[in-house]
Amino acid sequence: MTTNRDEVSVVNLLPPALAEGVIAAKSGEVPELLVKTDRIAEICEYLASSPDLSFNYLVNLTAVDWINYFELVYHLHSIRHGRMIAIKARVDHDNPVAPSVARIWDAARFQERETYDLFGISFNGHPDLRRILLYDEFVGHPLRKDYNLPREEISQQLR
Amino acid sequence: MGETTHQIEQAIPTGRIETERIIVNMGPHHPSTHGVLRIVLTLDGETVVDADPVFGYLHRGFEKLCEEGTYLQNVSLTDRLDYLAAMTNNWAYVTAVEKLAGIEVPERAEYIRVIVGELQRVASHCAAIGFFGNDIGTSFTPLMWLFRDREMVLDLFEMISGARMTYNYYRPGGVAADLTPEFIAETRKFLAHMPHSLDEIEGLLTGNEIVLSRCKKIGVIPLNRAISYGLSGPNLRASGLAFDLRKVLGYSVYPRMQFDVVTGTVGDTFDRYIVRVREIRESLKIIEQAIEQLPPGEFCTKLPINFRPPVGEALSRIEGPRGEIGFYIVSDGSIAPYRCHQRAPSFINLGIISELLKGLKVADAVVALASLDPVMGEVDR
Repeated sequence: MTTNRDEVSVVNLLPPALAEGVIAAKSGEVPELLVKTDRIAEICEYLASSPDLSFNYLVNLTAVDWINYFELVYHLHSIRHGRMIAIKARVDHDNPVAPSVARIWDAARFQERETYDLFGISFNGHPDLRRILLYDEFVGHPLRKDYNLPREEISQQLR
Repeated sequence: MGETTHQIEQAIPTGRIETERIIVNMGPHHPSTHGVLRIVLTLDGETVVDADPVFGYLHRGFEKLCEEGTYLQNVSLTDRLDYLAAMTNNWAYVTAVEKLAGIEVPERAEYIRVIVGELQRVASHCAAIGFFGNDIGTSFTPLMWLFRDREMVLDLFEMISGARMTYNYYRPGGVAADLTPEFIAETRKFLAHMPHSLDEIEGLLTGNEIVLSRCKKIGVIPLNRAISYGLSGPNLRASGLAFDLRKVLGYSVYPRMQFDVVTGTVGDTFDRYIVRVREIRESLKIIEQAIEQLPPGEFCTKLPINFRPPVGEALSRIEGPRGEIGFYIVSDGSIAPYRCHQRAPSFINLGIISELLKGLKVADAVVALASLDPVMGEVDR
């Protein structure tokens, strides 16, 4: 991503207090903003409610395991303006916690639960954070890159 | 006589009747849950007080498996997500791979994709409307009539892909095989037959007093809730928003097609049904136009089997029968994706299920669930 954030027009539409939370930005058909993890909720709130931006539709919420860190990815669509934006945030591997955006878009409820289930990233403020695809007693978070249990261990767990 | 009444009055305790909320488990093995969906219902008498969905009974670790297989191998895995509409799953996946790797798709291949994609939409909506009828209690007649038409589409798909359900037909760069003249002829026959068939089905259902009283004003989803929950496809359009990715994004050759975006007014169960019926008619129009405009040419760009896209990521967004199908693929430059995530419309559509079922009677809850048309293959992945 370019570090010249001011070239990306969306950043200029953010109030200075929030623009300060944007670490890097990339322009393009779908602009990308890399934001500070603790500012995710505020920035998303502004993106969703501001009339000029109006990113009221959460298309996709997921994560990628980059070994040293997790990267949360949010794809937002503005129905009014007909454009999309991607928000990314990095989460520590040892203490994977991020603010929840479930109160902004209800679509985040299930998607954050899925990210918690498969990656182990906790979302502060989520109304009901528990596993969604795997059974409750499951140990581990399978989509992590270090989750590659040999078959014998998996069947031991199931017993 | 007087004596017996007195005895009965003594036997029945007077005063308030105690009631209790009961927790009833619906599914996962249940004829009306559209796959292995489990909903834990808390009932106060016949009314649903709380509905907690439980997923995962069909979780096969698709996203983890995709990291093991090559980009080409993963196409066959995508068939098994929304297994009632495998073609559009394929389409969403290969579109993401093409964006990632900068692969061009020949014009003929785009037209083939549209024809096949719209046929898939018709077949999928036939299944959706049929199962919806089942859940109201129309007891198989509309289902079997619609399946008769769906069989015609499955026969067409068997002609070009060799399979009836898991087609593995789309490829990064095009499609696996060209359309044959026989396919075009049979599709034309289908296009001539389907509107009449749909008229018959509508004759059974659309004006039916029982269907109307069971579906009108039941399970209303206000538009702002639909948008907040990220609903897509017919579910969102039934709430009144003319949001169809084929028009909004104008991908493939859809901008060259004339068709209307079908919307509902209220967002009740009946609207979600009627939107699907009308969408079938619009799809038939698109298929006819695509066949007329079908140009000669290649059906697929030649690619090496184990191609390596550059490092990067891509998100594809396709209007599938159940809503917006997206694939978010991250490449690290190797022959297999580093991360492959499906934005599954049914998974996200089901987000609203707790809110939707609260306050409904059990029988209406079943119908409201059916109107969302979920397929567990893509919910659980």
